[in-house]
Amino acid sequence: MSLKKFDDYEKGREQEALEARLQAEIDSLKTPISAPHLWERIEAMLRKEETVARSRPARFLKKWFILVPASALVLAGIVLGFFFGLKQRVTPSGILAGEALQKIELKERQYVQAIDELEKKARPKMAAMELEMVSLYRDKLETIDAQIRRCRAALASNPANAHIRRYLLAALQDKRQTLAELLAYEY
Amino acid sequence: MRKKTILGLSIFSVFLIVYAQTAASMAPNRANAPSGLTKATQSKSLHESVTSAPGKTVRLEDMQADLTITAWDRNEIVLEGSVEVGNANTEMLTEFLAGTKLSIEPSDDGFSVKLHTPFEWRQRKGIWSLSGALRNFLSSGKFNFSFSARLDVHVPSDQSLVVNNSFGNIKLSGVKGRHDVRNDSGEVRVEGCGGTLSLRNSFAPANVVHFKGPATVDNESGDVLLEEISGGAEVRNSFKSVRFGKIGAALSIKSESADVIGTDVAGDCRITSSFKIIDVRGIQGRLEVRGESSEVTVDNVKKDVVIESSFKPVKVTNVQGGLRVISESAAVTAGDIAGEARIKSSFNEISAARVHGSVTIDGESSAVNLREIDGDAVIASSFKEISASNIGGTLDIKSHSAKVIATDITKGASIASSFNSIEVRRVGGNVKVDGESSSVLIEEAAGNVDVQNSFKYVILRQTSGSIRVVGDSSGVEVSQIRMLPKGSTIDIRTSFKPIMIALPKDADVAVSAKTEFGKIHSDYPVYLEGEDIRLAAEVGKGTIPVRLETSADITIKKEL
Repeated sequence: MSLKKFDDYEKGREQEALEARLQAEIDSLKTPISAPHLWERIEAMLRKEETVARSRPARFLKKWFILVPASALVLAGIVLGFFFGLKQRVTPSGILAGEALQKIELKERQYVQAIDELEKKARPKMAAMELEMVSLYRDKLETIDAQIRRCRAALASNPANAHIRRYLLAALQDKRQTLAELLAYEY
Repeated sequence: MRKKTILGLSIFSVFLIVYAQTAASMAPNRANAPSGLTKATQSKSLHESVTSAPGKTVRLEDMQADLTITAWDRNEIVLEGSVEVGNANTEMLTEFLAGTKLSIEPSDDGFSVKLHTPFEWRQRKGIWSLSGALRNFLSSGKFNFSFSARLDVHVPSDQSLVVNNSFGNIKLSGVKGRHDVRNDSGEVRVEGCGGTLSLRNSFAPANVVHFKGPATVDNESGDVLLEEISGGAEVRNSFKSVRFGKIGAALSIKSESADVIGTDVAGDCRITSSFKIIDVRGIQGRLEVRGESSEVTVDNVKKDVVIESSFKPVKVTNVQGGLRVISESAAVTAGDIAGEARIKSSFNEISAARVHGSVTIDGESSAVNLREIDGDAVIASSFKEISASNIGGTLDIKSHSAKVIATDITKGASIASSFNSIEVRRVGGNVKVDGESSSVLIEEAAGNVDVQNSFKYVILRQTSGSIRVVGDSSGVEVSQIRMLPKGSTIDIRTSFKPIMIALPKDADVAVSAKTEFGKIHSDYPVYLEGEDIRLAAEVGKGTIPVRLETSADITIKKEL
């Protein structure tokens, strides 16, 4: 065997050994996990990250879109809380304050005016109604009138008492409603 | 992240609102501070107490205050109150409050609570400690001065209460005794109390809940609520609603123009109201309702029900006793009645179903509809349709100008009407019809059939007994005769209209037919008699006489 041939032979053996070792190492590896379109997905993620990085100012603004109304809500809550809290403190008094008394007296006058108007219209209608209904409405109106008189008598010595005022107003409302019902009654 | 932020902020906002409310509620009373618009007000707290004993009576009379009376487990009566006054003159307010006192004094049967104010000076002229200004002011009678009081009373739980108050709300809780509560123009609530209660109020709701014992409530122009009353209850009120639930014994309600709505009464129940709704359910005893112009609904009553009403619908269901309704111009519906039902109304429909006893209807101008009646049915009505089906006994209808439909009558039927058709099907006994100007149809009658009518057709099918028809200008058609029992007869007489009869092929009949102006057509061999066109035929033994008379055509057929 010539030297050249011997060298070739040695190289061939080394090559074979190398290949055998590589093969052994390949065989020792586990079966690779199937990951189709892996690169495409990696690319998509990279693109998304780029987009997110570019839109950081927009995200910042977005946060403000939440924070501003939320802060307004909080502020409104505080304002309303104090408003209603203080308002509630004023009302439990059994005595009506001057302005409230004026308002309620105005309301009473309005009711009385409305009742006067309705009574004028109701009188001829009552005359034409059947006896049972006349009796019913007369009873009811007399009862309400008695209550109005009672409330007014009580108010004469206790004019700003909220409870009595409330009941006078309720009686006036009741009378107005009764007269309106009477006028709406179809016979 | 965003959701968390929003949620956090919302919670924070709610917290701030609550905080603000709390802070505000702890703020000083601004109403007490005089200002340009606000009238000057001042208030004074009052406190009194006394040791009590079981069975005592606590009297709170001549009051004009919000009263809260609560039972506790201590043998002591404690009063805590406040008086608020308002006027432009602060000096006068101070003096007024100085003269305002709360007292609790022994009385014959317990204690008497009084709230003394300088207003009494006007009546008694005894409090000379008041300044001249206040005395003059109170003497003048021209008040620009206002007064409001609140009183919390704690009493031992076994005390009786006598309360006389006006223009204030009253709340009683947990006290057991003989309670007499009078109030005017203020809400009254009695809760968790017991003993006996007499409550009078006006123009505001009176509520009694969880009361152990009988209760009487009189509330003019005020709502009444009774709930869980272990004894009987009596209510009088007007114009506002009465509601009740779980009453332990008899209940009586006398109201005027008020809704009355409630359930579960252990005893008898009497209700009077008018013009509004009456709705009552679950009555263990007898029920009486008087509701002029009231819509009445009744359900589930263990004993008899009596209803008097008018104009508005009446609906009654599930009655284990009998039912009697006397109404006027009201639609009446009754269902599932164990006993007898007697219903009177007019101008609106009367309907009864599933009645186990007999039914009597008196309904002028009322449509009547009866179904599934186990006993006899008697109907008197007019003008509107009458329908009766599945009647277990006999059916008797006396009407005029009404259409009548009667089906599935177990026993006999007797029907009188006019100017409208009368249809009768499947009758187990005899059928008698009197129908002036009414067409008459009778099908499947097990007994004898007797018809008298005029101008309209009479059609009889599938009969099983004697047949008698007396018509005036009525056409008569008889067919599908099921049987002609021994001793039965057929007698059909009319005028100006034809008679058609189909006889069973094997019938033993002796036919006599007579017409003045018509023709006689016969499937049987005939012979003529006299001057009129007269026919005689004998089939079989000829034991059943058949007489046919009219001035028009006569047709005699042999049924195949």
